[in-house]
Amino acid sequence: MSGFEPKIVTFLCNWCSYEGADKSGNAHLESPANILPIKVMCSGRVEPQFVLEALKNGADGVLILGCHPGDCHYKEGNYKTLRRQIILEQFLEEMSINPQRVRLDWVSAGEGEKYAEVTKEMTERVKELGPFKAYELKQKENASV
Amino acid sequence: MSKIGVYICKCSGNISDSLKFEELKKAAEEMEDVVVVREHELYCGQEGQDVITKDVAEGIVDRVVTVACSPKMHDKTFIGASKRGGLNPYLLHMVNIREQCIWMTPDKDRATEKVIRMMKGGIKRAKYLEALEQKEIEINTDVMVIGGGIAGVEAALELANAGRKVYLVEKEAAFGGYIVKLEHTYPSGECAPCILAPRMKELVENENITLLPLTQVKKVTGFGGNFLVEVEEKASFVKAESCIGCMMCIEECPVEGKNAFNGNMNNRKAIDFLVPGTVPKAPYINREMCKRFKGEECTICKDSCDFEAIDYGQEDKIKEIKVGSVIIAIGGRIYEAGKVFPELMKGENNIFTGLDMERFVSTTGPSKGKILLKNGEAPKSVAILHCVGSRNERHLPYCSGICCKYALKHSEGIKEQLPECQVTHIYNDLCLEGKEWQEAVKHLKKEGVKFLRWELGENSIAELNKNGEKIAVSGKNLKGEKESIEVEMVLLAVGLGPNPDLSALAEEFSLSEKEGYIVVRHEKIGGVGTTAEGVYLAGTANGAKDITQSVIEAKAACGEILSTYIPGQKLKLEPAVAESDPDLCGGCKICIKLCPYKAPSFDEEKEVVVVSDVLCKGCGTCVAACPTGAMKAKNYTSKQITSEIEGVLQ
Repeated sequence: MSGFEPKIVTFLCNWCSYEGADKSGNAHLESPANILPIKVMCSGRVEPQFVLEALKNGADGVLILGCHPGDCHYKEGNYKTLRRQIILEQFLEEMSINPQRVRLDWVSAGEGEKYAEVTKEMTERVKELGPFKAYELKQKENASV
Repeated sequence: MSKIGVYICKCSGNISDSLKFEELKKAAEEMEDVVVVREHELYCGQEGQDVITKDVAEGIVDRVVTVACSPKMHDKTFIGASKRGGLNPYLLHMVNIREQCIWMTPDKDRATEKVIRMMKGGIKRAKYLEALEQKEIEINTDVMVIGGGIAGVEAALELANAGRKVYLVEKEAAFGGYIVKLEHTYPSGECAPCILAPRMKELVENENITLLPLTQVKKVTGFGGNFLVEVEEKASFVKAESCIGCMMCIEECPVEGKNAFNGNMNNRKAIDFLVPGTVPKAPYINREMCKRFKGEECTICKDSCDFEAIDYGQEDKIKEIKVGSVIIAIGGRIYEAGKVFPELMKGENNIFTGLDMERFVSTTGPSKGKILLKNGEAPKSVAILHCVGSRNERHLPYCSGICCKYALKHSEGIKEQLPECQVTHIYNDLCLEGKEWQEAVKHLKKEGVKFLRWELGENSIAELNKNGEKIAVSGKNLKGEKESIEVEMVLLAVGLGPNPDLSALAEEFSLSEKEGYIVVRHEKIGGVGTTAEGVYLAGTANGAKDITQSVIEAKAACGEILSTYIPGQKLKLEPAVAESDPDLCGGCKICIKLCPYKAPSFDEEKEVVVVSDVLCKGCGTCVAACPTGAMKAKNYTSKQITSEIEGVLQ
């Protein structure tokens, strides 16, 4: 699909990834405008419900960025996020949503370059997946039958 | 209806030149609840700030949305500007379009589109912002120092001299920790008891310090500024205030057993001093040794005492102590050499650890200062094995950074007492940072001390085998060739491991633990802090280190306490924390399991969770997990976040 510019809601934890995004900007590293940042105090605050709300309201992808495992400002919030992500991915598949649309990654306060990379990769991935439609996996199944 | 003011900063062209500014303004004006949209060349400047202050003060706006730079850059600036006009700081929202869009999006059209989305998200969120009030609570400025080794003693004195009341808690019957076992300290060989004695005297005399020997922390409740610590004080059966230290009871006591203080190399009595000549200046009864604890009737010590200091009726006591902050200064534990050489350490061999050697050379030691083999003769040859139990996955994976130094100290001591004795260091690397040590190695080599560099080996740098009266020490040199020497005595330079009691303390104070040690708040700039407010570390609680470094940390921890918990000041509580709605809470307790700070607790009577606004740090992990939606993250409510999601996608 040419000219498709996906909208990717991106949750940034206050202590690492939000700082990492700032660092990326401070260094004027290019990052796609498809990324729509929303700050939370910890990636652990990201309710699965937020991911679904984003998709429902027109997002084509959701990116959750937190502190690296072991570096969480709140000790272990990011581990809880990771645990939740595994279940969320299974749930998305059951909901006929391609779990590839939701990515969890770690960006530290110093990793401006990683922020630029991850946001680029995610944008490329969602561009390939195309615009989000409800029941996308079932439709694909039906089309292949 | 809320009155939202949107303040778009041009950032002196930084922002305005990189997007279609007019489109941005127009989009803001079209948003619901927006009453003013203003632009300024530089909102962070005084003139710009005054615009915001004036709008708030005149009641034109009741919510402020800045569309400008990062809150990491200027949150204090805009909180200040809003506050001066009378706005609650939680009614301000900053949309960070500079760092997180303009500076990373060279395409003007794409940047404009993204900025508008971010701004809409911010405005929609602003509608649901709630004013939050910062609470203040009284603080307790008393301090508990846990661990009465040199780090704890120095911390207690430092704080007491600054006028703080200090409770010094020590598990053993005497204060001093490892340093009381040492005769000389490296690098200069200064006499350890001479360092300690005047400090111990000060400890006893300082009225601000309460000494709690034979005491351990059992339970902790509360938070930084207000802890309630439950300790158990074991009975010593000797009234320290009555005892004059005449030692009559010790002489008369009929029970004799191995003296652990001297590495089991001599005997002690059931009633005895743990350490000769230290604090408290009274002996105690060792329950494992005393006949009375084996059901036998014996009153010899009591009968021998002319001062009625012996009190068999003493009981273990639970005490509750209120303090505002805590220093954990419990020392590390020398790794057990028996785990490296299980068979050899059991038998009557001439294999000793560094600590045994400390007792040998001590005038209060088992041989009254003489280095002796088990047969009572002086050794003619000694091999000193480095890295025993260190740098090995089976034992301690790290380098303790102290063993090479004390090994060199001991070789110096041996050569001093026995100049003819052949001393050989078997090492892999010499970990000797600091200005004194290279010179020391040169000096030892001149004295005839040998240095053999071998491979670390699977279990240890060398294998030890008994060969008659001698010990064969064999290993591989760095070329991979086998080498072997025979000596009369082997000295093991064993590493320092974590204190097993750290785990229980970490649990009670909700601290993070890694490989048996407590994790510091920040490696570089928070080296004596922990992840819990009000809990600090000194010495080996966060890793192996020597006396010098331990004392430096003790003083650093005191500095943090003195500048954080100041008499007369109140503790400001962060209001953006979690709160549970009792009408919605189903009592599932998932939040309690998730919280690393023990902030939520269960009210058994009402059968709902309540969150301590003091313990909660506001991460929101419990909120995300709450199945009934009872848990709310103030300033990051689900409504606020979903409104922002809707806004950016609008």
